[in-house]
Amino acid sequence: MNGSAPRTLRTLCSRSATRSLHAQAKPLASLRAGAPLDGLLSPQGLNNAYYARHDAYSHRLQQLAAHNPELQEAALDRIVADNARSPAKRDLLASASMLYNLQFAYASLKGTANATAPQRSSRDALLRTPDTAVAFANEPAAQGAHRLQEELAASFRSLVEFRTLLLGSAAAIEGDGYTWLLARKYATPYGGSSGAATDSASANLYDRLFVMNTYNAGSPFNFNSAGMLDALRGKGAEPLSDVERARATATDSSTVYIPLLAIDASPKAWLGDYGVYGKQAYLERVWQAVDWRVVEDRMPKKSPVVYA
Amino acid sequence: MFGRVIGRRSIHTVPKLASIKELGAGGIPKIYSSNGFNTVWTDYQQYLCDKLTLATAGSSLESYYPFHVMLNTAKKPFQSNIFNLASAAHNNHLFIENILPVKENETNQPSKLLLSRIRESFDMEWEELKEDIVKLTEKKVLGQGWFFLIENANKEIHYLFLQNNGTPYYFPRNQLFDLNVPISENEFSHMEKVRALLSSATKGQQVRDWSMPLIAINLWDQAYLNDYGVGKRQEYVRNVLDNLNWNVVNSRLYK
Amino acid sequence: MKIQANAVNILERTSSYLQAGLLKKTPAWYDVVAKVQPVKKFNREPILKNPSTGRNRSEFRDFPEAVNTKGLYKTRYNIVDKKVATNILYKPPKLSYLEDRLRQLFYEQHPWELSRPKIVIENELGKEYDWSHILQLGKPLDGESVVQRSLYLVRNKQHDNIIDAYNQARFEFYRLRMQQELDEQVAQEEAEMFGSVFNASALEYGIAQEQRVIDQWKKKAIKETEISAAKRVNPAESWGKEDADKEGEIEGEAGEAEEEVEELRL
Repeated sequence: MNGSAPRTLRTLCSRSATRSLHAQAKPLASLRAGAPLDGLLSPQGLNNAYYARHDAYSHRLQQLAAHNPELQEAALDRIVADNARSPAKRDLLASASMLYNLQFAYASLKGTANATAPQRSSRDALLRTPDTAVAFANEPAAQGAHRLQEELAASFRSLVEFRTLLLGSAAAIEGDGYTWLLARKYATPYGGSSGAATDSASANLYDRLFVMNTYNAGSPFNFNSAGMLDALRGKGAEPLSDVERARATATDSSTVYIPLLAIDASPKAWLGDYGVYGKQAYLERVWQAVDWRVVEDRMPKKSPVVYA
Repeated sequence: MFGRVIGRRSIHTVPKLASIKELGAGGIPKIYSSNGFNTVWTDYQQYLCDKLTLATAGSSLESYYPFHVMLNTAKKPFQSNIFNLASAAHNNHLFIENILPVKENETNQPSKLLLSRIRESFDMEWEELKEDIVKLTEKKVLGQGWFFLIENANKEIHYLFLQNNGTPYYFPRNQLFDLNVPISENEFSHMEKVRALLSSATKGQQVRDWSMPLIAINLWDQAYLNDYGVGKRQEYVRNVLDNLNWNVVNSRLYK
Repeated sequence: MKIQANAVNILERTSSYLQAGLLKKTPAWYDVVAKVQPVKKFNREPILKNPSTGRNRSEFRDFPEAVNTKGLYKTRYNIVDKKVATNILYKPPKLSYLEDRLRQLFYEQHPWELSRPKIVIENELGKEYDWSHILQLGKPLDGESVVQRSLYLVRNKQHDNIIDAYNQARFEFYRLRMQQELDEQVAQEEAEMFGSVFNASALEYGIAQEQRVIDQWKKKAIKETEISAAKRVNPAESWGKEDADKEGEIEGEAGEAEEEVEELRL
């Protein structure tokens, strides 16, 4: 399947999470085509999980943005946020979102040194007794990410609870999807940042961390579709039921979540190396392979006020 | 040791195929290699049956066939995981049934009745319809899903692209649209119609859905990743549609 | 009184009557009783071992070595002890199993596990499970799994006491329950995100019912508020009319109250 020329290394654009489309066409520097992702994926598995999909999505994106130079320069998350409500741009949104999610997920992985190659799981894997350990080899503190470790303990009460929630949510996804660790952007209840340019130091603060699933081409930037069905309903339609109205008022569509970590739960990632029964084994190895320093770098400063 | 053998026995078991040995060794000609067949049937069906057993053991659902488990749990959102497993187990069996290889001396053609029905319903011949279906696969199902050609109560033929583990048998659980991306007005109005149907059904009537599947295709990764690879699902769907077991499909049509 | 054996030797008596010719026809029950003959043992045998614990029942109970209330020490078994001990041997033994105590403990600690419905009809007997893993294919995950798993752990020396084994089994059970709960919630969310349509849930139905009552109350409350606001603004207007209106009001209120009651019944 992968008969292309050997890829050259590119430097990772480290500071911002936003990159232009031209830069998107080049895969991540931390991975190498033809080499395995140590302890997690074999070379063929990595190709299935990352390179093949990356090529397909960026090719599609180039096709859709062929006549639009503005779009070619735009950052992926900007494309996703801008087209969140337009069905006509569905293709563009889907390709941009899936490409962003894929790159985000694989940029957080560094592999595990001295680990055995992935094994195909057998039918016994379904009945395997869960491990009740509360300490793990790969913890943020072990890699020097102490701020992250403290914040995980504060938001999820302990690291083992966070790990169970993260990996369990990913295991529960039936089809394609990602499980995210998100930081909720701090915003005062009276709309502190009014859209005008504020100094970047105070603009990006977070108060709490959350774990969330997205499916297929869903994105953490546009998962709140509270207004979408209303717009589709149009004028003269039946008024909302009380429950729908309550839901609409309870959710605040202006809340922004900053992604810190994404775990790929799609069968394309684990089917080749781990087999039909292998999702649980794959997820345990993903935990071993996460680079917590990259995750901590994405974390903004903490706000003094923390909402529930 | 004896205890271990008994302990491995599922309540829900993989359906027996007459030619399972040949299929396991040689796969299905023109569609699957031996590995590919074992992934989609021997392993995946066993996985679905085991998970369904684990989910339903000890409840009244354990003694139902997957079809009836699926119908029973379709209306209960808190049993969606059981619905998904039952629906997948049933759909996968339908799929393998309609691609079982035909013996060499037997004819393998769509019946005249089926072809005429398709002509009436779609205003085009089967070959053209096949091309349309292959082209639509990538557009309609972004992630995992199923393709069904169904016959409804009015003897009309339709096709459905279902997301994840939707079912063709019950309108509210078809799972036709991916709401993770914005949907068009047509799709939205379809959903509203189904919602209206469901709320009127609670006032005494049942939701009447008599759709019967004729052709089933598994669009999950477990079906094509092994033999075809990422992004090659269209080729796989074309191979399946070119090599259907028409005897099975013809027998599914209501005469 | 002499032991009455006529019930249990009915087979012998009937066969002799048949031979003698007193009975012409063989009774319908004859072959059945001949196949499974009644037990003729009338002696009560002492049961020397407790079948559940395996301990010797013929041992005397230990007595305390401390001084008793009379200021004396007990040094040997008395006649009452010996009588009781002999008596007990002929009574059915008290069966006590460790499994039962674990089950009691488990359901005391997890009362909501009792709310999960349990089907007690078994489709096959003699099912053997391999408890090296807590999840079994034919058996739901519940308190029984925890008990069997903890006994397996202690029998296979993975823990040296039953409490540690029970704790280990319990924590494995919790992990699996957490995963089951996540599975249910994520599956529901996934179904809705892919276009499944569900009817109103029980909570939503209840909210709709309550909202209907609240809407009616709101209409009435608005009316009443307007009336009392009008009275406050111009009290003089209502003075003269008060007596004339009072009777009308009382009737009106009674009528309204009836209406309210009828409407609330819905």
